Amino acid sequence: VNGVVLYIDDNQDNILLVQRLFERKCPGVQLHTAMTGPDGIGAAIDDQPALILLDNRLPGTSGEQILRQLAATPATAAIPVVILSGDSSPATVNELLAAGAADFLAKPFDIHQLLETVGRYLH
Amino acid sequence: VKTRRMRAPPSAAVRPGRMQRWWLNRPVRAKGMVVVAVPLIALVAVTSASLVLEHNERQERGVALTASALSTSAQQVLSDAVNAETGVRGYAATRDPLFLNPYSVSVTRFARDQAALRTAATGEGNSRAERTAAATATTAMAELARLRSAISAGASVTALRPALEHGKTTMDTLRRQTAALTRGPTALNLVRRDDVTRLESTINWVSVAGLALGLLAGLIGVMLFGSGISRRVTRAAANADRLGEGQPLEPVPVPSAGDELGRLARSLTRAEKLMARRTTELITARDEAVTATQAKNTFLSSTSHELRTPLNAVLGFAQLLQLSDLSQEDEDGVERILAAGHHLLALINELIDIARIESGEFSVSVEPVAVQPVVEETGQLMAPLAASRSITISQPGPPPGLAVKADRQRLHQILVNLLSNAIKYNSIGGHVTITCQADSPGQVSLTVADTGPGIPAADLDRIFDPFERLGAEQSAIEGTGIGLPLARALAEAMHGGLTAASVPGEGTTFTITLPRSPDLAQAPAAGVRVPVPRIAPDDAAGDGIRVLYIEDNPANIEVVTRFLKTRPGMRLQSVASGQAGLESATREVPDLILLDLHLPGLHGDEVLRRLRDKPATAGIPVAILSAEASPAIIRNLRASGVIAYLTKPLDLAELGRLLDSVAAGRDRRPGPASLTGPIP
Repeated sequence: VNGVVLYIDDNQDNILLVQRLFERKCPGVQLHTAMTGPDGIGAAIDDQPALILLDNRLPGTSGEQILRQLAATPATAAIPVVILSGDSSPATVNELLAAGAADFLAKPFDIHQLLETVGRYLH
Repeated sequence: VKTRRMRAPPSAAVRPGRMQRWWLNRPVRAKGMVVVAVPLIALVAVTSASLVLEHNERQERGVALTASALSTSAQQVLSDAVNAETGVRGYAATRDPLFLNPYSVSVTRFARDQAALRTAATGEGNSRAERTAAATATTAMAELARLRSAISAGASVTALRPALEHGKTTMDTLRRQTAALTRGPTALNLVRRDDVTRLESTINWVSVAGLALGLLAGLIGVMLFGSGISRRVTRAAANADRLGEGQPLEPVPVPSAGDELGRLARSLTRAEKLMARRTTELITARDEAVTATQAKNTFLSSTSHELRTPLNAVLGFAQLLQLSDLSQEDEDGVERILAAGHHLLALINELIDIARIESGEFSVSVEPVAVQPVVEETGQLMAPLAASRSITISQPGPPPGLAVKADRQRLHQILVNLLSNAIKYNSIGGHVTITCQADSPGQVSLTVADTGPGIPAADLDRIFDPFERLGAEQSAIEGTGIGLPLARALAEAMHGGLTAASVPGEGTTFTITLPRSPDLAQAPAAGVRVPVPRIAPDDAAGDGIRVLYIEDNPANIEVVTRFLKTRPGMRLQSVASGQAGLESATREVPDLILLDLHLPGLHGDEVLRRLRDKPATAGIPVAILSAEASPAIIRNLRASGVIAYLTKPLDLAELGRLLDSVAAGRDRRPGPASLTGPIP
C-alpha cells in the first residue's frame, strides 16, 4: 500500500499511534499530520494526499466545517475524507456523511479496521 | 414569533361630547329604562292633555245648554201670556166662551212653564231678571183673570176699555222684559258654541300630535338602542371571537365608556395584552429551554469525545503492542489492558445513554415493532456466548404478528442486555427461556428467565441501582454495573417498564412491559421458526463469500456484522456512504452487495444505477435492504435486476437463505433472479 495520507488530529498520542501503526503495518504510506483545521486544509492543498483522516473535534473548527471547506476547494474536492470521531450518535454520523465524508470510524477505533479502511482508498 | 398588536388609529376613536359621555356612562339597565320610558312619557302627556281639554269642552257645552234652556222657557212663559191675552180679547169682543179655550190651555201651562224658567235661571244676574219677568207675567195673568170675570159678569165694552188698555201695557212690559232676559243667554250660547268647536279641533290636533310624538319617541329609543348598545355588543362579541382566534382586536370607537359595554371592551383589550405578554414569556421560556438543551447536547457530545480520545490511544497502543513479539506474560498484560479499555468504553457508552435519558435528550423513535423478529435476532446474536457456556436458549413461539410500540434498536439493546446477563449469571449448561405474551389489551410483556442461582428478595430492588453488581465482585463476570439501570430507563423512555422476580436457587426472571400495538401483518417467512444458528462448520457455504454492505445506520451494520460472524466463510465489509460503496465495489468486486436505499448524499437507487453502468461491477448481485417497500420502488428495482428485496426490520432467516443462494450460485452468475420479500 502506497501513497500520502494526511491525518488531522489535535491529540498527540493519537497522532503518534497512527504514525507507529503505519510505520509498522504499511511502510509505503507517507503520513502527514496537522493539528488544527487551517493547517490541515493547507497541508491538503500542498501535499495532495490520497486520503484524509479527520478528527471530528478540533479546537476552533468542527469536522463538518473542514469537510465543507475541503469540498469547496477545487484542489481538495476530490480527496476522500474518513472521519474519526468520539461522538458516534446517529445524528452526528448522518450529518457528517451528508456533508461529504466518505466514511466514518468511531473512536476508539480498532487498528485493523483503520488499516482496512485506509487500504480501501490507497493502491 | 412576532406578536402583532394593533393600536387604535386616532381617527377611529371618537371624542364624545358631555351629553354623549353622560349617556355612555349610564348602566345598560338605565339605558333600557330610558328607551322604554321616553315614548311612555309622551303618551301619558298627550292623554292627560286630551282629558283636560275634554273636561273643558263638557263644561262649555253645559253652560251653552243652560243658556239655551233659559231663553226657551222665557219665550214659553211669554207665549203663554200672549195666548191668554188673545183668548180674553176675543171673548171680550164676541162674548163667545169658545174664544176662551186658548186662555184655559195657557193658564194650565203657565205654572209649569214658570217653574221651568225658574230652574233654568240659576245664574245671579239671570235670577233677578227672571223674577221681574215672572212677576210681570203673574200680574198680566191676574189682570186677564179679572178681565175675564168682568166679561162673564156682563160688563160693557166701554167699561172694559181701561182694563184692556192696561193689559196691553203690561203685555208690552212683559215682552220687553222677556227680550232682556233672553238677550244675554242667547249671546252666551253663541259664544260658547264657538268655544266648543275650537276645543274639539284642538283635541283632534293634540291627539294626532301625541300619536306622532309617541311614534317619534319610540323610533328614537329603538335607534338609540340599535345604534349604540346593539352595535357595541356586536363589536365586543366580534372582538371576543378574534381574541379566541388569536387575531388582533378591532379598535373600539369609544374606549372610555363607563358602562358595562365599555368595561367589557376594556377587559378584552386587557386580555389581549395579557395574552401577548404570556406568549412572549412562553417564547422566551422555550428559547431558554432550547438553548439549555443545546448546551446539554454539546456537553454530552464533548464529554463523549473527551473520554474516547484518550481511550483511543490506550486501546490503539495496546493493539500495536499485540502486533509485536511479546512474552507470554506481557501478552497477558496487554490482553488485560484491552479488556479493561473495552469495559471502560462500554461504561462510557452506557453512561452517556443514561445522561441523555436523564436530561430528557434521549430520543426514542417509537413505532410498531413486531416482537418475534427482534426476539429471534437477539437470540441469534447471543448464540455464540450461550454456546461458550453450553447454555440453551429456548423461545416458545411468540404469538405471530404480536407487536409493541417501541424503538426497535432500543428494544433490541434491552433484550441483548437481559439475555447476556441471563447467560453470564447462569450456571454452566443452564437454560434461558424468552417468552412473550399480550397480558392485557394495551400491554405486552416479554420475559427472560434463567436457571441461575437467583437473587435474594432483599437485593432485587438494588439491582436496578447503578453499579450494583450482586456477587460479581467475587466472580470473574464482566459487566459495567449500569446495564440494568440503563435497560430499565430505556424501557421507561418507551412508556414501558422492567421488573425482576427471583427464586433463589432456581433462577431469575426479568419482565419487560411495553405498550401493545395493533398486530402487524406477518412477513412471508415469519410463520417458519428458524432455529438459532449454531456455530458449526458448514462446508456447504463454501469459503470466502465476500459481502459488501452499504449502510449508514450503525445499528443495522452491527446486526448484519454479528449475524455474518455466525456463518463461517462469510467476510463482511461495510461502508457508510454510496460513494465509498462504489469505490469499494469497483476495487474488491464482492460476491454480494447489500444496499440500503436511504443513504446520505448519493441515494441507494443512484448507487445501483452506477453499479450497473460500470462493466466491472455490472455483474455483482445486489440485494436491497430497506424500510421503504412501496410497490413503485420495488417495480423499479426489479427492472434494475436486484436479486432480493429485504425489508427492515431485517428477517435474519431470510438473509440467511439469501446468503445460501448466493453461495450456491456463485459460479453461475448473474445469480438467481428471484425476488424475495413483498411483491406488489
